[in-house]
Amino acid sequence: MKLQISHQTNYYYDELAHRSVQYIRMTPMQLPHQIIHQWNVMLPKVATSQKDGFGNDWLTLSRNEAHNNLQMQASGIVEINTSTERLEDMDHVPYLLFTVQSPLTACSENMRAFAAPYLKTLTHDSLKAMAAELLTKVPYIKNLTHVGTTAAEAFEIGAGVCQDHTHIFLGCLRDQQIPARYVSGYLYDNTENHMASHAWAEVWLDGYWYTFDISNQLFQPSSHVYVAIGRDYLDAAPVRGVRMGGGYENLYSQVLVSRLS
Amino acid sequence: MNQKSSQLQSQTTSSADKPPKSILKKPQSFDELQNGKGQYRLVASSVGNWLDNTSIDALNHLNEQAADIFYRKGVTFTVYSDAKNIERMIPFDIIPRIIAASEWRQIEAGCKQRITALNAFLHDIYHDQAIMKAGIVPASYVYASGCYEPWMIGIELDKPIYSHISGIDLIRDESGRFCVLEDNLRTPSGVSYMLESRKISETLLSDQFSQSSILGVSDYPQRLKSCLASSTSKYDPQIAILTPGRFNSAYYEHAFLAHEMNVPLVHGYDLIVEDSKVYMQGIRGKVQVDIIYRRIDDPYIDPLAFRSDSILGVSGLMSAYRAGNVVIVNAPGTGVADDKSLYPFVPDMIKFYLGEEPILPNIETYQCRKPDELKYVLDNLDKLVVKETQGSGGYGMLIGPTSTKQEISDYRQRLLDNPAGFIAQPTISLSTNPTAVSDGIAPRHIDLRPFILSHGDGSVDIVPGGLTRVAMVEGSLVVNSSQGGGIKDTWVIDDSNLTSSSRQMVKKSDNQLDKQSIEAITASHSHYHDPVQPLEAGYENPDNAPMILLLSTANHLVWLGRYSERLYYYDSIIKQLVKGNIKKTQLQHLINHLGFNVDPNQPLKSIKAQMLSDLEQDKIPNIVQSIETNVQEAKGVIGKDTAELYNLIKRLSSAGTYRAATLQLHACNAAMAQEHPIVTCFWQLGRHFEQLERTVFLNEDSVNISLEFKHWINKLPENTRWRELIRLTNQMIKSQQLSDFQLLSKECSTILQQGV
Repeated sequence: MKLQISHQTNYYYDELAHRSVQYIRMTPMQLPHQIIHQWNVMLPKVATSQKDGFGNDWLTLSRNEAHNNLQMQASGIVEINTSTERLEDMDHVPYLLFTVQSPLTACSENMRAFAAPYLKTLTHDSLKAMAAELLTKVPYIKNLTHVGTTAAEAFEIGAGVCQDHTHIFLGCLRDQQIPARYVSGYLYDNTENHMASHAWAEVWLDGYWYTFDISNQLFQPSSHVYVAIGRDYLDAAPVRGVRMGGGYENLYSQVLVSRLS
Repeated sequence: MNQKSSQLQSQTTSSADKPPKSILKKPQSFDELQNGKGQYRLVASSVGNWLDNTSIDALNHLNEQAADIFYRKGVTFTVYSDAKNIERMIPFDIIPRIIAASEWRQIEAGCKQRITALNAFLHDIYHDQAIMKAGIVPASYVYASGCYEPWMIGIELDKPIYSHISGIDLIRDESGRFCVLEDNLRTPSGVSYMLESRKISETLLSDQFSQSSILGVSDYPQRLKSCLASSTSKYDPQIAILTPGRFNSAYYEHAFLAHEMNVPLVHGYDLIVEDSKVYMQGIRGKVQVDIIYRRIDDPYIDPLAFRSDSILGVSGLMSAYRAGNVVIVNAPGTGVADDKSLYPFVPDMIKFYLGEEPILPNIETYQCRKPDELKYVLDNLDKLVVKETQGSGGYGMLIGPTSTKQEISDYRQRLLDNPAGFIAQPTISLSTNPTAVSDGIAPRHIDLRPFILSHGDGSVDIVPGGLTRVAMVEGSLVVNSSQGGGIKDTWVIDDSNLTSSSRQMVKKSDNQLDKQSIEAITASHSHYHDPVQPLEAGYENPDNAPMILLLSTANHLVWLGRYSERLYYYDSIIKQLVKGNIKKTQLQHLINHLGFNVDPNQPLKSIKAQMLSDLEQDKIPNIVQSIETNVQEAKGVIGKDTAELYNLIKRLSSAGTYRAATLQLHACNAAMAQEHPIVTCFWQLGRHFEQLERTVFLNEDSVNISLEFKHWINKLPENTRWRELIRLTNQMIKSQQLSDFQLLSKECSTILQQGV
C-alpha cells in the first residue's frame, strides 16, 4: 500500500523568542516492510541531520535570531507491506534494553493488579485481551492528559490518548521483565484522513516484535508507518524543543494520510 | 616515641569502658604508620620522630591553624541532609597518611589496569557487546543498572575514552592488602581537597618536606588539563568546566580547577548550541567550546535528550556530541561501569579485555538478586555491610555490626522489597592511621581515593597520592564527608634509599635541595603571578590570547560593583542618621528607590530609629549576601586572595560588625583594582553606574561621575555593541536628563542579557 503523508506542525508564540533549539523526529524509518519513496522535512532553516542512539532519523534545528513562530512540514510517499505480522529485532538496539522502565512508564500497584491476570501465561491472545480491557478502562479521550502525564497518572485518570495507552501497556509488561517498546508514527485510516501523529506499543514475543495499537485495537502493522522507536514518548517524540522568551504558544498540528494505491 | 605509644595505650584502655565495638576489637585493623608493636614503620619514621616530640596541644593547634586556612579560603561543602543545606567545613587532620613509593607502584599499576578495562567495557557495551555475548556479564544487569544510556549507542568517539577522570576507592584490609571498595566513573570529586591538604601540610609541616622525599601532587591541574586536551585530536582545543552552580556541594572545586587550569567556569546558560556546535557567550562574542568537563549528572546535561525539566544543562548538547563537535568529559552513560551490581564483574572484565589477572582484588560481594546469596545476606545482616547498587556518598547503607536491631529489621524489609537493588560485603575493618583527637593521638579508620586520568591515546596518568578520607568518630567505618568524615594529606614517600639500618632520612644532596627549595619558593609565591585568566585557546603564544570573560560573569561583576557602592552609601547614611542630618531628598530616594519602609511624615527621631534598625536588620545583611553571591558567581575570574578578602566581609557581617565589614570592603576594592583589566573594568562600571544612578535620582550634578563612567565604557571591547553605550553616555552628559540615563541603563542590561 502506497501512502501519501503530510504532517504539518506550527507553533505560534505570543512574544518574540530570542533563541530556540528543537530535536525533530519526523522521518519514517527504513524497514524491510516499509519503503520510503520520497520524503522531505521543510524547516525555517537548515538543520543538522543525524541518527540518534536508537537509529532514528533525527534533525536538530537551532535558531539564534528573534522569531515568533516555528513551522515544520514533513511530507512524502511511503509504501508498506500490509500483510506484515511482526518485525525482526534490530542489531544495534537489542530487545533486552526495552525491559527497563522509564519515569513515564513506571508501573503502579493498580496497573500491576490490572495486568496480572493477562500476564500469568503470556500469549499473543492474552495480550490482545489485555489491550482490549485497557481501552475499556482507559477510553480514548483528548485533553485530559498532556505530554508529561505518566502511565500511572493516566491509569488513575481513566482516560487518555494513544501515548498514554502505550505507556500504560509498556509499564505493565516491563514490570514483568517483558521487553516492550514505544513506536511513534502515522496511521492510515480509510474512513477519516485527518488525524494527529500516532503512537503504539510493540512487545517482544518468541523472538519477534508484535504490534499492539491499543487506541485502535489493531494488532498488526497493516496500516502503520514507523517513524521512531524508543523507551517512551520522550525518546521518540516528533518534536522536543526549548526556547528563550516567546511567552505562551499556540500549536497547530495536522497529519494527512491518503492512499495512492 | 614511648610517651606517644602510652597515650595510644591509654586511649584504648579508656575506650574499654564504653560498649564494646566488635569491629574494632577483632580482627585487628592494619595501621598505616605503626606496626603491631606500636613502632613506626620505616617509611613513617621521620613523621614518627616528629610525633614523638610533639605534644597533643601542639598538634591540636596545628589542626586549628589548618581549619583557619580552610575557613579563610572558603573550602567548604554542603550537606544535603541538613534542613538548610548548611555550608560545612571539612575536618582536617594534620597527621599525614603515608604510603611507601614501592607500595604506591602496585596501587598505580592496579588502578591503571582497572580503569583500562572499565573503559574497554564502556566502549564494548555501546558497540559490539562482546562481553555480554560471551556470557561473562549478563546483558540484563547492564540494562537494569539504569545508567545504560541509549544516546551513547554506536557513537564513534574521536578518542575512545569514556571515563577520563576516575576515582577508585581503595581500602586496606586487616592483612594490609589494598582492595577496591568501589569505582567512581561519573564525576568523582575531592581532588581539590587533595591539593588544599597538601598546601596546608607544606605550610605547617615544612620541616617534614625538607627531610623526606614526598612525591609532588601539585601539578594535578596541569595533568588534568593535558588529559582533557588529549580527548580530541583538535589542536589546542578550547576547554570549559560546566558547573551546576554555587549551590552544588562541590562548587568550590569547580571554581578551583577552573582557576588552576585557566579555563572558563561556565553554567548551562552560558552555552548555546548552533548548528550542532557549542559556543560560550563572552563579552567579545561567541567562542566555540571543544571540550566540556561537566560536573553535572547525566540526566541534566541536555533537556532535549534527558530530563525535560533540567535548567542546568545545554539544549542541543547531545546533537553536538553525536556530531563529534564537542567532547563531554566524562562521557554520558559511564555510570553502568561503577554500578555496584556490576562491581563483582570487574575482575572478569580485566581478564576478558586485557588477558591479565587483577592486580588489585575486589572485596567479596554477595549479589542479593541471586536467591541463595540473598538468603546468606538475610541470615547474616548483623555481620555484613549492605549497600544500594545505585547508592553513593555513604547514604542508604547498613553496617550490620554497628546497627541496632530496629535498623537491621527495617533494612531487611527494604532488602526483601527489592533484592536486585542491593549488594552485601563482609564488614572489613578498614586500616587506621594515627589521628589527633581532642585528648591524644588515636587510630581512626581511613580509605584512599586516587585520581586517575585516562588520556586519549590510551595512556593512564595518576598523581602520586589521592584523597585520604578519615572517619573522625572512634570505631566508625564511614569516611564520607557527607557523613561527618574528615580528610588527611596523603604522602607517597620515596623509600628507595631507606633501609632498616638507616632509620634517619637520607639527606638529599645540596644540589637537589637547592632546586627543590627554589621550586618551593616559586610555588609559595604563586599569588604574585599574573591574575587568573581563562584564556581563549588557539593562539600560538598564550600571552596573546584574549581573556574569556563570560557575559554572565561580566553581569555579576557589574552587580558586585553596584552592591559595593551601595554598602558604602548605607554606611554613610548611618553616619548621617547618627548625626541627625539626613536630607529630605535623600530620604525620598531611599524610600522610593532603595525600598526603605518609613513614613517621611513621622518625627525625625522615629524615622531615625526605624531606618537604623532597617539598615542593620535587613538592608546591610542583604547587601552583604548579594556581594557574596556575586563574588561566588565570579569566582572563576577573580584571584584567590581577592576572594579570601571578600570572604571576610561575610564573616564580619555575620558576627554583626557591619562597620568592620564596610571597612573590609576597602581592602576588597583595592584587590579588585588589580585584577585583569577587563574584570576591573566591569566592576568599575557597576560602581560608577550605581553612583550615577544615585546622583540622577537625587538630582545632583552628574557630569563628573558621567565622565568617570565614560572612562570605563571606553575600555570595553571595540567593534561590538558595547560602543553604543559611549554614544548614549555622551547624550546623557549633554542633556543631563533622567530619560537618557534610563535609555543607557536599558541598553546596558540588554547587551548583558542578549550578547554583543
